[in-house]
Amino acid sequence: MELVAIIIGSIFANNVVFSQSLGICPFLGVSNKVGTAAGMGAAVTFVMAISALVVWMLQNYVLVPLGMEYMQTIVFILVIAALVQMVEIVLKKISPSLYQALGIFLPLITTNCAVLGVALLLVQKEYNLLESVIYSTSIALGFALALIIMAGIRERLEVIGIPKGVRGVPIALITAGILAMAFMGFSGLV
Amino acid sequence: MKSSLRNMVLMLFVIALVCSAAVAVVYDMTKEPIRKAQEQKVVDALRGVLPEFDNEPQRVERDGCYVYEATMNGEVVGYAIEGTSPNGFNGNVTLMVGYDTNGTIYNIEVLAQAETPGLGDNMKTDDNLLINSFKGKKADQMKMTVTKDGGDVDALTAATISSRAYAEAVAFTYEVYKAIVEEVEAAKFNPAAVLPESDDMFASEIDGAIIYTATKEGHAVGYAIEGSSQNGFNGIVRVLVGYEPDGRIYDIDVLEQNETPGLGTKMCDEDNALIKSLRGKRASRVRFALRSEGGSIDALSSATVSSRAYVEAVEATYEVFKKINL
Amino acid sequence: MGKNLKFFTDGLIKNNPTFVLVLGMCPTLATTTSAANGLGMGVATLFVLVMSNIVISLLKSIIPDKVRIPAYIVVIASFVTVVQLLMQAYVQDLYNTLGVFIPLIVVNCIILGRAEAFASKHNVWESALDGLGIGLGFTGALTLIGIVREFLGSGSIFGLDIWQGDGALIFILSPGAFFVLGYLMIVFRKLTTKKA
Repeated sequence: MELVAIIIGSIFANNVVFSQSLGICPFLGVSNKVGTAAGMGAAVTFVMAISALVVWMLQNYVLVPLGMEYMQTIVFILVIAALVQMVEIVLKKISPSLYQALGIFLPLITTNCAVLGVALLLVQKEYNLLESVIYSTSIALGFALALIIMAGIRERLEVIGIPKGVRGVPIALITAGILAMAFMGFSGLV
Repeated sequence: MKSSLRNMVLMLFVIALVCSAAVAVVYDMTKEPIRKAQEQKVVDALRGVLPEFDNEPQRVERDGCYVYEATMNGEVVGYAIEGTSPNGFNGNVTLMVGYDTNGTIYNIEVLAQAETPGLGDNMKTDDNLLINSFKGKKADQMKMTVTKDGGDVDALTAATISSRAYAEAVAFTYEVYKAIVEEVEAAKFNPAAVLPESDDMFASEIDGAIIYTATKEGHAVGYAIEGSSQNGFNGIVRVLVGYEPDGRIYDIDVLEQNETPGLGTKMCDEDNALIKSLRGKRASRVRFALRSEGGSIDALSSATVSSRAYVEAVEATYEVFKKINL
Repeated sequence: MGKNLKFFTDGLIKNNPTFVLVLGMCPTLATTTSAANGLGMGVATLFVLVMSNIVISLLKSIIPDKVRIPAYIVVIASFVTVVQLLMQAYVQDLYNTLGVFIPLIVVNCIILGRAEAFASKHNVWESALDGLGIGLGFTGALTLIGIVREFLGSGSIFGLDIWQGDGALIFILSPGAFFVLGYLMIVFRKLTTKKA
């Protein structure tokens, strides 16, 4: 039950983009086409799930026993950066087709604040290992959902006449605002 | 700069080393100010949630919560308990809840929260639906869940999750408070304190009343019996009376009372007028009423109602004691 | 000096990180619920930006090319941790309000972006000015958004009541952040294109 609440809450009610304002840069940057949006979403989900696992173990088995919680930010970002590199290398070796699909997005993920943000949040929330992985996967799915919906809308925005000064990012932001209002409706779910 | 394996590893290592050393230095430097800032916050919060006190309450961990005991002139006036719910909209909601000694919630202060600005974070204001649902209420007479879940707590507008977390955090502190009170009660409830010296004690029951019999070398040397009256100035007065086998009152302890501080509460003092007119007397010769009302017991000054309740409670124990002798 | 001044003013307007470069959007949207929060976030970022620009510019000749990004990240993360510790010690309430977004300065693309695009190619003085300009541009934008949101959402600016009553709550919530930033961006474009 707890887990279901975490899943529903993280995907809809606390949607990482619309409600927590994390991961906005890729949200605005790679939401032009549904195909790329789905690829980015998949890559982020993959990395977030693994990083949750690694970060959780690091926090509970290394930083806390050593009393070095204050080094959290430095350690986490380095681990995530290294992890992304490793995922890239491993993926290239064992599944070239998956690498083809996700590869170009991987370097962008290091600076996706949602990944580090979720790592910091799951430590703050004192989740156990299972909850942490479920939580970060759900958050990532919420991110993918936001990205794909946004891309669907932006593909249509392309073909209609929009005043010059509003084109591009401003109209995307206003669209996102309306979507965020819609997502607020989910807050009653949990 | 050209990269070679050697200089790459070396430089990264040096940079990481220098940076973490620098961070460690800053950490060391700020450790004290951070601790002080947190302490100050706690002190401010304590002043806000407790009745006036004059000690420096110490933080004691208990059942996963932090507890502070506040005293005034050496007497406990309340407890402040920190409670955290992990189920806020954005992580933890940590509250400090102040209880007075009667189980009334004196006030609540939000110590940490990251709820939505404008909605959930309204919980930190001094006057909001949540705090007003709790403030001044007897904790045992309310259901600590939001009205939506069938409780007595009014939720903040459009912030049910935050409100639930708030109520949950208060409920945690109340569990701890109950445990503390029980412990204090248990410490007070010590039949041996009102009985002559003994080497063993056992409890038995007569008509629903529990009697603690103290024995020495197999012979009964005293009986402790609990009695109460509902007619105190502020409700119940509960006493524990020790009798010697010949019916002499050995000593009396007050277990529970809510009387007026400084007047009725004198009944708890070691040598007050009430106890002086009872201690060492044969209960069969005592006329259980105040002297002004034809009895043989001196009342506390300006606390007639409390004194009357005290006498009633003692008399109730004598009724039980008479049954033992039969 | 004229050239140096340009490094500084570029960051404020022509390369304004928020309205023109559209970088560092997460803190821009998340922490501008009030003018004071926006300002606090801006100043914290400004500090990290200037310091990391200076240090990276100093180190640029001794950092091997291939590991420069991890090296920059270590430097930036260290300054972020320093800011975290200092804020915890001296402005704890603000630190608690901004929450996870303070450590997230690490992944603010503006900082790594300036390190890579500017500080690694310019001298210390220029890098510091660039950091200051960009940082102030960011701080200004965040404060402005904060002022608008606080004004519309709670009827006050920097905590001072402008009108009585509640205001339109939606502007303090996350949809309002998107709207306000979107419309401000349109206004900014309008103003700057006229000038050119």
